Amino acid sequence: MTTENIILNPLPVRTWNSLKMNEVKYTGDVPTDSCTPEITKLPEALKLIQNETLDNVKSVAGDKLGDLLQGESLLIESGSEASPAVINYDFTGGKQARLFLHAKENAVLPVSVMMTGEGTAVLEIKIQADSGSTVDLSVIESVGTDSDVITDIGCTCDANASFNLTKLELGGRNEYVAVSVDLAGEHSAFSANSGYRVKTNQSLDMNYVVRHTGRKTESNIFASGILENDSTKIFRGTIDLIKGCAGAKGTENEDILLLGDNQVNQTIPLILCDEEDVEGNHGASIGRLDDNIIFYLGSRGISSEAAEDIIAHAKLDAIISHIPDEDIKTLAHSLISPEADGGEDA
Amino acid sequence: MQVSTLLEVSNLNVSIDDKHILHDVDMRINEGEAHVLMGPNGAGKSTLGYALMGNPQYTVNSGKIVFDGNDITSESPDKRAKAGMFLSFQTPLEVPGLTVESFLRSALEQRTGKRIKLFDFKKKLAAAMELLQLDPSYTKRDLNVGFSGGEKKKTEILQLLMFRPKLAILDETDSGLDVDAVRLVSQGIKTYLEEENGALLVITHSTRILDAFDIDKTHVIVDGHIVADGDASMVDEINQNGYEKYIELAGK
Repeated sequence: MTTENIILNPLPVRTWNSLKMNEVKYTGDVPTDSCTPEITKLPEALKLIQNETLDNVKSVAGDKLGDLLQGESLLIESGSEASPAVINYDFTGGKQARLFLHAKENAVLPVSVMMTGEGTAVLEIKIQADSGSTVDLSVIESVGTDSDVITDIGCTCDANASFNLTKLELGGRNEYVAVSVDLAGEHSAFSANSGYRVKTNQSLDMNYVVRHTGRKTESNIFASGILENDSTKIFRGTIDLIKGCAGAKGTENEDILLLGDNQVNQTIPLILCDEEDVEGNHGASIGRLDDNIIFYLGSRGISSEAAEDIIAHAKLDAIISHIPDEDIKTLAHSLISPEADGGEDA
Repeated sequence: MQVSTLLEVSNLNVSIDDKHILHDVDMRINEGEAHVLMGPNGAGKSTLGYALMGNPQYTVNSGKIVFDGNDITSESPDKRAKAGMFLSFQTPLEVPGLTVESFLRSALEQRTGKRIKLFDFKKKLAAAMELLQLDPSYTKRDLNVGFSGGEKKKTEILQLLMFRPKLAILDETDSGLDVDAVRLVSQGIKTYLEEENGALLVITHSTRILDAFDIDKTHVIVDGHIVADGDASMVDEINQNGYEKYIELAGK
């Protein structure tokens, strides 16, 4: 374990320093111990290779982080259509993990990753989606609430490849999420559904960057979450429409529900455009639960506190619905409503 | 047979944004009775429904609401609902992200304070949906989101059948419905009355929905004042002659 002072999640193009959104400084432990993956499901169609990596997949977590991630790695390859693989990483004691996914031509590679335990957690996932392939990745982070969590995801998509990401942030004291996607091949696509519940005194720092280099590429980023009392969240979402990506289309949307007071919410949607025949869209909505909805649910016997909780769960449920593995879906549901296990039957 | 009072409203004065809307309203509804509240547009009918249900946007300046023996004048809407009160909204709200099934289960669990057995719940839900001729796929849709006016009203009655309150306040439940939808909604209300011996306060302009059940009492409200109380024959009388004489009564 080394204590580091590093820059994470830099914006691809800087803005005013006074906004304090250009990057985040991380001062804390970066574990050197490797986390041993517990593979709970591995379909026959998938090939597992220890300590092999994928090069040339970019990261937007910050230059220094990559140098610190040198531990054991796992590569999963798919050459055909597969049912979901499920991997659990228990970061107890502070650990780092490296996962590489390679979907070969026209393959389907669905992977669900659980992040659990108590301690600083650093997870790197790098993905190569060859032409015509589909990668469905869901990452559920429920590391203990006293832990710092860094997730660095990078993907390169060749022609007609798709990368679908479902990301759920449920634990962690300070969470840092970097997602970098290169839509290099024509007609390649990226879709992200990110759900989060940032609880009291927790922080979440996100940096999503999609580079459209291929023609007629498409990206869609949707982040939806809940900020509770005294929580902090920053969402950086960059759609980079690079010269030559004619016909490309990028959309990013955020939807934030405020529960309680004193939240700090920052959103910086960035659409960079160096090509004429493209489309870039962004939108964000933030607010408290509507008084009329609270009254409507109240008139059905649901208290305002329970109404807030139900709506918060509903937001996360909508994200969970994108997880391909049914068992992980059920597990995710139980994580967002822990009281569901404790009630008495009527 | 001894009749017990379910709802007793005394000298109720209600305002919204400092505008005095309801004036000295008195009303008593006994268990199992069906009452009708009629009145011209803007008379305060819906305000009374909202005030009874405890909408915080409305201020009770004076008066008392006693329900099932308890003073609920200052209680929150959820406590009134848990006590057995229900309001069918004239314009039901859309709640994105919350499916009909999840909402009904959550509400039932909140009302009872206990977990609901899934099998029993699904059985009850299927029966209620069949009665209202609602397609089973509705349970997976977000509550009222993208529903037609008729579907929203049917979903309100679906809730009535699932929650089985002691008193249901139906605010313009038949407005905007075609003949077939009125028939189904009426059937739902009839089933509730028969199976639950529930009480009703029906707020309405029209009389189509009133054909489904017997009316015990009619109230007429004009400019926030209850100007007349009577039996079921008042409904026919208003249908024939309108509200003119009641407006004059209010002007006195």
